[in-house]
Amino acid sequence: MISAGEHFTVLLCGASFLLFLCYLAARHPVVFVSFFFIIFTLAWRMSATMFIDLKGPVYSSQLERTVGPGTATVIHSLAYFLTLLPFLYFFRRSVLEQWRIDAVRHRSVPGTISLADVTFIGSIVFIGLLFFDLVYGGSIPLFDRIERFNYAGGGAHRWLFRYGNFLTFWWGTIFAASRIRHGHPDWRMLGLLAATAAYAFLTGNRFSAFYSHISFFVAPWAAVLVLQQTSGATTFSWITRNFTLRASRLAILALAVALAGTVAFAIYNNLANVRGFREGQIWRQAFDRILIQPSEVGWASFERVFLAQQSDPQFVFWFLFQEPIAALRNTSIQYLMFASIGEPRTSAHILKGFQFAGGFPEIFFELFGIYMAWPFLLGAGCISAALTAIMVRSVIRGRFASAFLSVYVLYGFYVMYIGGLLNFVMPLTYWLKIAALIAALTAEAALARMGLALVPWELFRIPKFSRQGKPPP
Amino acid sequence: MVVETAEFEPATATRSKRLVFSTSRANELNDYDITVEFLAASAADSQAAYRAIAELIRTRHARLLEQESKLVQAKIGYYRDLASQLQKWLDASGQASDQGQPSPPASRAELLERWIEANERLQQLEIAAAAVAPTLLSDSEVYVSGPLTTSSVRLSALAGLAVLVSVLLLSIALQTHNPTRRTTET
Repeated sequence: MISAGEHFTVLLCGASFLLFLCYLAARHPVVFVSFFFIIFTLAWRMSATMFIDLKGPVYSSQLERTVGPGTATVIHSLAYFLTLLPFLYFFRRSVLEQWRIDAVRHRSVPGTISLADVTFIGSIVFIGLLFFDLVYGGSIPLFDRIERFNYAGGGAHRWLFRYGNFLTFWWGTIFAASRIRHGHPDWRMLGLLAATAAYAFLTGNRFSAFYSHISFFVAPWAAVLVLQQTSGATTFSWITRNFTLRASRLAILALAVALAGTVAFAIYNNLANVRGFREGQIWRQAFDRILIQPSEVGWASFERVFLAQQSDPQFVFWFLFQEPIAALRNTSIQYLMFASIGEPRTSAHILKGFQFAGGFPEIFFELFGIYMAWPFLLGAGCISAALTAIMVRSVIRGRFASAFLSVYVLYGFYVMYIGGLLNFVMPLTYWLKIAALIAALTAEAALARMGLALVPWELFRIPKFSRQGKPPP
Repeated sequence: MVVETAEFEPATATRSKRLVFSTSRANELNDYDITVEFLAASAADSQAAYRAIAELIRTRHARLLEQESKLVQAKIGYYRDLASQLQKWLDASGQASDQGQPSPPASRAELLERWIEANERLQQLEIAAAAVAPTLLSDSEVYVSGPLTTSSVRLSALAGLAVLVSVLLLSIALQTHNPTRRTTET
């Protein structure tokens, strides 16, 4: 059991972090929207860690042991603060003022095929292929009670679930860029996102696909918020400004309710009809997944490193970077699973392609120790904030190659925050992505000085045909 | 079972019981060796839990060993009888050819081959029976680390807080003393 003082400290630290997120949503919407993918995860994990700390001991079915109570919330909340604090510097008011001046607002010339048009046509073809594959394949996971990871699908399906986040980010970029240039978003992109969500629902996805696709879609909207946010902006004014009409507020509310209902049904269907759980078991599974599994590995690591002082950074380094179980996958969670459930269970899970949730920030304390982890956490936060700033600024300036490549590089850090992945820096391809980003930033800046763009908005003019004898006006 | 039989110190027994129950896990190192890891509230309780686990393993292994020994002894008896019978038939087959007595159920060459096989098997079983020994669990192979402490949480949290405050102060200082630089790029 923890003392009353520790109980209070856990509550204070956890609540402070959740309030800080509310503050970001209210006063720093650019940060909140552009980094929403990670902010949501941090909020969820914070809640789960608090639950384990305060309500423990609670039984973890995956670890086959009880976890909690304790004070892991104190350490984790500080780590999360250090992750998000650099964003306040990289997105400070003076910087946003500068970005507003740089915004590209000129409208498209009428009668041209734009980047949005080409994106829409290409995406429609792709989505057509997706649904054709689904129908042609003969089995629809939602109706045939197939687990999403057991559904092989066609080539388009595999491509979507490998690169879907980048695709939805690109649609979001076009959606936001259209709003910046024309004063209204390109609603076709939202339609594409809805079609992808419907496909994810039909292929048995529960929550992650909706959450990640929507998060990547909304991230570029931060560029629009930069232009809307003026010095006199009030708390949550970005919401009221974007939904001025009563009808639009009702529409977004209805959309949110529909999405929540879809996700709830998808989860229920998966647990009840696909996995065959019954009544109390369904609730137990959902409860475990929401409040225990996100932080159980983190809590076990906290107990090992902080309470039992059993950290061995040299061994952790050797395991993560030299002799992991599967070198091409996330080695951090492999280590954390190995340290928590031992062998042969870890290898059996990993080789089947299954891994536990969690990994951040515990892997930093396992690898760097309980003091040296802090500067590394801050460093990771600074790099993530800088890359996010590049992404938002690039969307504002209409430098689409830089925007896309910055997210491509940032993605490694995203996976680090989601699953503790640290070996993303090992493959040569990651450094090639960084080189490509630097090249795109340089090339787009140089071309902008000449009034050109590497990825132009107007791609080509539609030839006009007039009747003979009547010249076009 | 372990937490019920371990003789924990009264002052820390409740906490140790919960810790040992929650944290025990085994690692299979190879076909013969395992490690068992767990947390307890004190070093003495760790030793007590280890002794309880060791006793449990010894009791179960002793039972298994007894069953295994009975099985091996039964097999030894069987092969000894078989070898003896084959020996008799071999002797008889030699005498039968000389004195015209009824011949054994197989040829002499076949009997010889089966007699050699039975003796080899008997020898292997006797060696195995001699090699079987009770499982050894030595106190010298116990590694106790710890004790569990919350001081490292406090110290690490203070270090984290110091970094956090430093960053805040640095940000404020940078914003106050470094006016926005306007780039010439358009």
